[in-house]
Amino acid sequence: MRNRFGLPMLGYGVGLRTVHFSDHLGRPGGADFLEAITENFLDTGGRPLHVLERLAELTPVVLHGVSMNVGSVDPLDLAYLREVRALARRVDARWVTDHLCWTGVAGRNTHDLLPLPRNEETLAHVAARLRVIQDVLERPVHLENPSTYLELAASTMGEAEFLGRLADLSGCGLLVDVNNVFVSSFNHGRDAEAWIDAIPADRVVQVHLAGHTNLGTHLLDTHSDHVRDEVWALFARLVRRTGPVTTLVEWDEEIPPLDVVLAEARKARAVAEAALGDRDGRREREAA
Amino acid sequence: MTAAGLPLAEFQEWMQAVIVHPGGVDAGLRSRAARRRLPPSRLGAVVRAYGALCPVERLGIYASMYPLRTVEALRSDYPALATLLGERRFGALVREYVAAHPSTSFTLARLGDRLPSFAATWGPERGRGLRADVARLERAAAAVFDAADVALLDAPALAAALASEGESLRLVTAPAFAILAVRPGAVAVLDAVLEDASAPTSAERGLVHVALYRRDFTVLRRTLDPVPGRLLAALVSGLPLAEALSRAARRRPGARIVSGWLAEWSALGAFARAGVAPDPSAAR
Repeated sequence: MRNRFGLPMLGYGVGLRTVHFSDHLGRPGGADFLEAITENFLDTGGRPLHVLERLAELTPVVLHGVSMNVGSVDPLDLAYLREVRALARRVDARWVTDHLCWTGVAGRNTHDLLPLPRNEETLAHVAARLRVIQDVLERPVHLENPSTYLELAASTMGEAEFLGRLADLSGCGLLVDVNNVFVSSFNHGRDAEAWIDAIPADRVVQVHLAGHTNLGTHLLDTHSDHVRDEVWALFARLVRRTGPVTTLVEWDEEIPPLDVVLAEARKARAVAEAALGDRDGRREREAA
Repeated sequence: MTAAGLPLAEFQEWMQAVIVHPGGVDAGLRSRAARRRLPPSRLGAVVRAYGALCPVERLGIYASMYPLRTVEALRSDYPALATLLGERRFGALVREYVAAHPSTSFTLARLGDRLPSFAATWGPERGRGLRADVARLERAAAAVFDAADVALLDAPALAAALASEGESLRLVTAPAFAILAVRPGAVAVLDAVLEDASAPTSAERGLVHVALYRRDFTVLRRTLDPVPGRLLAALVSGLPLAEALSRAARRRPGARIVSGWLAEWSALGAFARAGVAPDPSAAR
């Protein structure tokens, strides 16, 4: 299945991190594509932007933001959105993503991905804002499911259902963070496989994979380790539904040498290919 | 309040008030801003209770991330100040600073913009000036690092502008350049952090001028002698050359010496071409 936006499968990439700038410049093409944290390249004319521009000439780049604040009741930050649009043009970003969350209210930014009640009020609110955001950016935005640590009494629907309805209402695509699916499901005692099975596969433009930290009472989305086996299994389950899908490995704490992160991206390719081989083999057997 | 939670706007005001409170979640829940939206006894009507953690503990996960994130961001921007103060005092400075100046930008890179002036009035009076100077140097270095690239005034263009304007010449500072007058001890602290040595105590009095500039996207630093330091600071403040010279020294340095200094500073990338010299591309 190809995503409904007709966006290409970029392959298996890694998040662009400052400690790896020299490695990427010295050995371009190590990853099929790179994902840049949008805000790290706005409001700067220094080395980060220079490096991103150089790398964007060699490797496809996507932008992943953390401050779009799509769920906030504050007015949209149009100046920020215009800067995102300019950066996307400057580095020929293949697409722009952010999170289903709010990051602050009353003009403040907590720089965290805060949870939203999943109900009709929030759905209408976020969909309306997304339509404006996409108009300003002049392109679809694809939203990621964040890791969450609390459930709100005002929620009336599951996350996968909410994301699917939001995508229908706003025209946005989805970035499925499989590690976040696992972390949130563990933290709230939900069924992660059911989440994967419920997400509208044709809306999925990109996948995130990362490691997390088990604190006993809950999992923390730290991006500080290898992808866990349970997350690989969920990824394979998702790929069997979406087909080949652009997939990225994130590593943000205790960042290892680039080769380690690239090896994780290669593992993602192998897991996806094996999952698709299983699926296609099963289909052939069923057809026979 | 509805039967199941708060309306979205009230929920967001409430949750933010709880998780950013410098006293922690319990204090946040009892704060006036939070109680205006939800009495602490009604917490269960907003945050579901289930599993191994109670609602207060679940809010606490978000509340604990806020100070970690702000301290980490400011430690990254102010490593020398953090070293000078030590982990515990730097954490205290950040907590008080962030409470007074919360982030309002899309980027954490702007969070520390007002830390130098805050540090100038924070903590015991002894050492305040040094702490503020270290912070000013680090803030300026970050600004130089992030500044836009512009066409620079090179030595031939500077010589031509000087020949044409004489001492009425006004120079335009390049965005990726800064000069500050700081206590010598502040420079010593930065050097010690770079060399991973313990911060020295400097008995030197007075101020030194430190130029911050960028080469190949790396920020570099140079301490200037008193007269050229004052002259460059006066030029950067926008004064014409004649007035800058009067301010820099009672006895004027010779024209050749001044030309040499100007050429040296233009080689550091101190001056922008725009507004000083004709745009070479316009002649084509």
